[in-house]
Amino acid sequence: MQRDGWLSQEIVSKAGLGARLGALRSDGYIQLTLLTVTDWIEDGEFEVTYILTNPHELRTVMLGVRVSRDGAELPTVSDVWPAAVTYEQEINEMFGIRFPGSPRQGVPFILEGWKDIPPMRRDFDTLAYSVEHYEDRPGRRSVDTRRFVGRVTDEASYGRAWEPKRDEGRKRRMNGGEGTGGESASGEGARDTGADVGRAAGERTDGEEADDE
Amino acid sequence: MGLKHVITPFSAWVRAFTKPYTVPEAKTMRPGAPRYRGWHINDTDRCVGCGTCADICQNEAIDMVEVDEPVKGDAGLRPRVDYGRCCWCALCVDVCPSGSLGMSNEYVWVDGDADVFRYTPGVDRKAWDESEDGWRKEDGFHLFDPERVPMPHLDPVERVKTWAEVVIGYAEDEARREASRCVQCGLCIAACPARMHIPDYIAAIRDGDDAEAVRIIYDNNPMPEMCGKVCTRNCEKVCSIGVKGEPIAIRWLKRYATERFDDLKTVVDVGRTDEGKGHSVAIVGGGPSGFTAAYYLALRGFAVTIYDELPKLGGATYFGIPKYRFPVPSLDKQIQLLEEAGVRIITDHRVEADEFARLRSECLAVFVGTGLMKPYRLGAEGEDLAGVIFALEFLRDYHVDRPVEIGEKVVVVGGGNVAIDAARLARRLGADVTISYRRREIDMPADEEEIEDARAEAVEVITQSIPLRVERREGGGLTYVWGPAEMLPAEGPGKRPRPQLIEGVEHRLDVDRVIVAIGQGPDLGWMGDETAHGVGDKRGWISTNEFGETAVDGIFAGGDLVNPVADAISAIADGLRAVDGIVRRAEGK
Amino acid sequence: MSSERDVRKETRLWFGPQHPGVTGNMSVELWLQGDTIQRGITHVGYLHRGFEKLMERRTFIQSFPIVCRICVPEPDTNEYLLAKGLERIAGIEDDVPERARWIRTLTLEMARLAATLMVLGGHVGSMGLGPVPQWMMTLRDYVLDSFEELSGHRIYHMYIVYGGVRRDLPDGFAGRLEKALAAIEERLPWIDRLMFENAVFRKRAIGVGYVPPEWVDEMALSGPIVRAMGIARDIRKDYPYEVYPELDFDVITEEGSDIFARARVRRREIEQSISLIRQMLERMPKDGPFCLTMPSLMHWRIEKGQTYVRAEASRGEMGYFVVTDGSDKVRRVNVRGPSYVHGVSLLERMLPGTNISDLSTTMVSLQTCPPEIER
Repeated sequence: MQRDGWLSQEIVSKAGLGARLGALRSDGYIQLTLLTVTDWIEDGEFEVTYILTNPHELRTVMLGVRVSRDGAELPTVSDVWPAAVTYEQEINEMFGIRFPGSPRQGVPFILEGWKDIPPMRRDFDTLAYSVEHYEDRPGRRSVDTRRFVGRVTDEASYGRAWEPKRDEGRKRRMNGGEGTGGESASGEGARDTGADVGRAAGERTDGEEADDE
Repeated sequence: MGLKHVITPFSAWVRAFTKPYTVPEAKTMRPGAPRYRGWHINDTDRCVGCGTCADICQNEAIDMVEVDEPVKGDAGLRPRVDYGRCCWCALCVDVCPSGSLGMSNEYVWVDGDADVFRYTPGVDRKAWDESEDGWRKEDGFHLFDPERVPMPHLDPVERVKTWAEVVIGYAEDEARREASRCVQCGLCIAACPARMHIPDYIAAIRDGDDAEAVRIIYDNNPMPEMCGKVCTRNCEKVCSIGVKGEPIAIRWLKRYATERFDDLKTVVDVGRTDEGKGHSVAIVGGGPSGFTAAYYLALRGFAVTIYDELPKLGGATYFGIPKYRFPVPSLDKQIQLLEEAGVRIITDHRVEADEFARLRSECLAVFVGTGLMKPYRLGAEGEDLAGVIFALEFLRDYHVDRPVEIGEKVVVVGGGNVAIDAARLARRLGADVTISYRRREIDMPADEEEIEDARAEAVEVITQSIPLRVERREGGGLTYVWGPAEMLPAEGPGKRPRPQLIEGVEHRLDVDRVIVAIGQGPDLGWMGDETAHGVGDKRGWISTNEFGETAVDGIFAGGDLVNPVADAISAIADGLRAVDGIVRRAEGK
Repeated sequence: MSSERDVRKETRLWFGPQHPGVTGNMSVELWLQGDTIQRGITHVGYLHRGFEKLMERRTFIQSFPIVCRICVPEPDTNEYLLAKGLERIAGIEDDVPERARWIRTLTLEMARLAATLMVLGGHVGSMGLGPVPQWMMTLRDYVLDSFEELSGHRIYHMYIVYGGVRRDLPDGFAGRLEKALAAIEERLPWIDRLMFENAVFRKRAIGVGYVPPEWVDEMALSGPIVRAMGIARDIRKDYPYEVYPELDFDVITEEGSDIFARARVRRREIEQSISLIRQMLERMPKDGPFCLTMPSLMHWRIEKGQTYVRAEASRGEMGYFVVTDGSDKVRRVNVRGPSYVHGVSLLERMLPGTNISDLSTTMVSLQTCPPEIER
């Protein structure tokens, strides 16, 4: 079984990063398998992870270093591992972390003509972006079962409208095409529902005639 | 590299004389594999409109659209699929609780009009609706566990020796697991007479926020621990998971949440508003309907006084439900909140006609929730012999700590929850118990679970037995004489099959007591004959409008007096209705 | 870049993205002097769908259908790695039933087979030979037919899920798959004749597209590229996963580190995959559950954790770095496709001094898969 036994995890400070990388390399961790970033927005930090592999002893370490989200900078490793140029280029583009001395910093890798904030940052709201820049298909209209059942049966029984006390169950935006409602992806951390709630009471059209009923 | 490498490839020319791989009949459609995920189909009779398919679709390709009026157990909505977004992952099919949604194995659909590629399967007829092949929900892969987390019970042989609660209750991880099975469809809300916010508090339990769950429950139910232990669970009967699997254990989850906190005051905010300031309301009868009305009126600022003739509030949930199902400390927790809300509680106090008239004149409104206190008589010879007792009185005497003596052998006549409660109570007092019911077991109004639990506790159940008479025995004791009955078919729609006595055969059962539990009726005599006749019909039943108002101005009513269903949650719903009505009355409407 | 470059004599040529010699949609910006490449830069971005960001907004079960789209030739590796990564963090990887593990490995090997067939055809297809790519696509089609039968779809299977697989093997599946394998075996000698004993292929592949072995650790190369250097590295052997420890196979190596060697490795790996599939069909447990039942996949929350899981895709080491934060969604998934290095850094490093007519064949031999570069 592929076991965690060959995988270990370390945290190092930014100041100690260079030394640790050097020590690991001397120890046989000579391959840079992956260089990646996790956005811990609630802590105000990025965690940059270097995944290094020791191909002879078949071990891997995930070396993490935390940097502040604003003005984040790390020394480049592209002089040691040539492939790191691409990783650092993409991280620069997607997260906004700078690697001074790395060639191709600021050169777009995946995106073209991108003018917004680096998009893999968690404060970039993809739902808001797509609602702003693209159109929905007209006539999309969905009914929330809970509200529908509660409302209709209540009107029949005693006119008291039933409203849910907690709206997490129905996460669809197409209820009314209202875009973001409720919690957005702007950094709520573990309880983040990710800007995907567009609520409407019962049923709503998206401002156009429901032309398909 | 030599000549051989130039010549060898030409050997491929031999393929010119062999059968090509290409399938020449391009027009003959190659059918999709038996499991192919093609265009959607939906069995609209089985579909309950729960909307889980729309919830799980990560492309938001499914809309729920109104097709019909909602009824109990069917929301009247059906899914509409937009193929501009669908990625054919079939998670909607795999999650469908009723198993109605499927995919055919058709994959070709050509049309010049782009808008046709959004349709409601099963409602908009398509050529592939009858397709037998395609992707269907199958056993073995489940997106939620169709089986309920089992609820541990005390061992039946041991538990008759104690008054300990038979149901042990969920542990925390069991409750979280059970709560995560819920797909949040909301069909249960319509089935609950009180319209509790069921998906919401289940979600709170699932997410680990038990305090929030209790708060949500308390929004429209002031006796949740009682409901959590003994409710008739209409909600579970319409649960969409229950269509093919086991319904969510809604009642046990409610029980779990309320049992987490010894002192509910720390969780529920009993702050009062000013809505009813200056108005007073009197509530006669401390059962669930009056209790509910008292609590919510008090929260709205009314000055509420509640009267009950027994030593404690709770009504039938206090004196009728045995303590191994609903212990007194549970009830006390709820009464504490009532006190905290500022309700004046007067127990051991029977309101009579004069006082009732005075209350009517002094208060904005009075609420009557005194329940059914007059047990039906056996209707057979010997019913007045000593030793023939009413189940209602037996239960009440026991619960208010008056002594009861039932001997060693007892027969309980009847098949409802009261009969079962009396039987199991008698077992715990050490008697051998037989239940005698005149119809078949499936006709018994009692909860199936209760009947099973009673059997497990060694209660014998004799069905299709009609009481003929009770005789006194030489040397003390009684003999219960009964005759067998055959079932005649029902006389019409909505009627049950009738038991018909088979003449000429008699069975005898020697007992120390005969406990009569064949139902109870209303008794409004306490309010004075004239008022009673104004409020209730000639047999004492009261009818109310949607605001709990009776025919007499200023008198509201609810609970068993009004509700033929006669369960606690309906009484609570009646209380909620009356709260609305009294609030409107205060506003001058 | 040599210092003798005279940029006035250089032609700048945009190679791709719609080019029959390119494996997928990517382009290489070339600076040529005559027909010698002086420098090349890989440009990607035509296939960026933003999967990693999408997954941050979706619950785990909602993320499951989208990962297969990260790689068209071999989608199952993605599904497997996401499932494995999350199972590992959630601590349920040992609860995956036995039969499920066998079926997963079968699916992975079938996917490797299908992808290797396609790229082997591409080797000579990029040189203009017609029959072999057509045969390869046909044989791949037979494997895709088996996938259609097994999982309901031909290319995006959405089959390997958390806890196991979604459906059991259909009745008679083994027999039909065996027919596909037999058809492939029948073709293999023909492939040898038309490809490996073909003067044109040999001329254009032997000694061409050389990758020095020193670059392997510097750039974390993997897969057939490494094995064609004589270095025996295979994740199925080095970090065994699923039921690979119980299967009988050797790591295939060739010498030369050129296009020819890589094509030989792939050709032999086809036979290896066929042998592995046959072993699995014969030895897998005959019954048993094929998926773990969890209380609710819709509301699954996984505690905070992170892990890195890897698998041997037909192209090399594919890895998933998965981070969870205690909610019902991933915090970060980073898909490490082998082509991220092979198609960008390695290609750019190999190009200077090579001939433009070898560019396409070199790219195919590196088996670059643009979708996994940019996800």
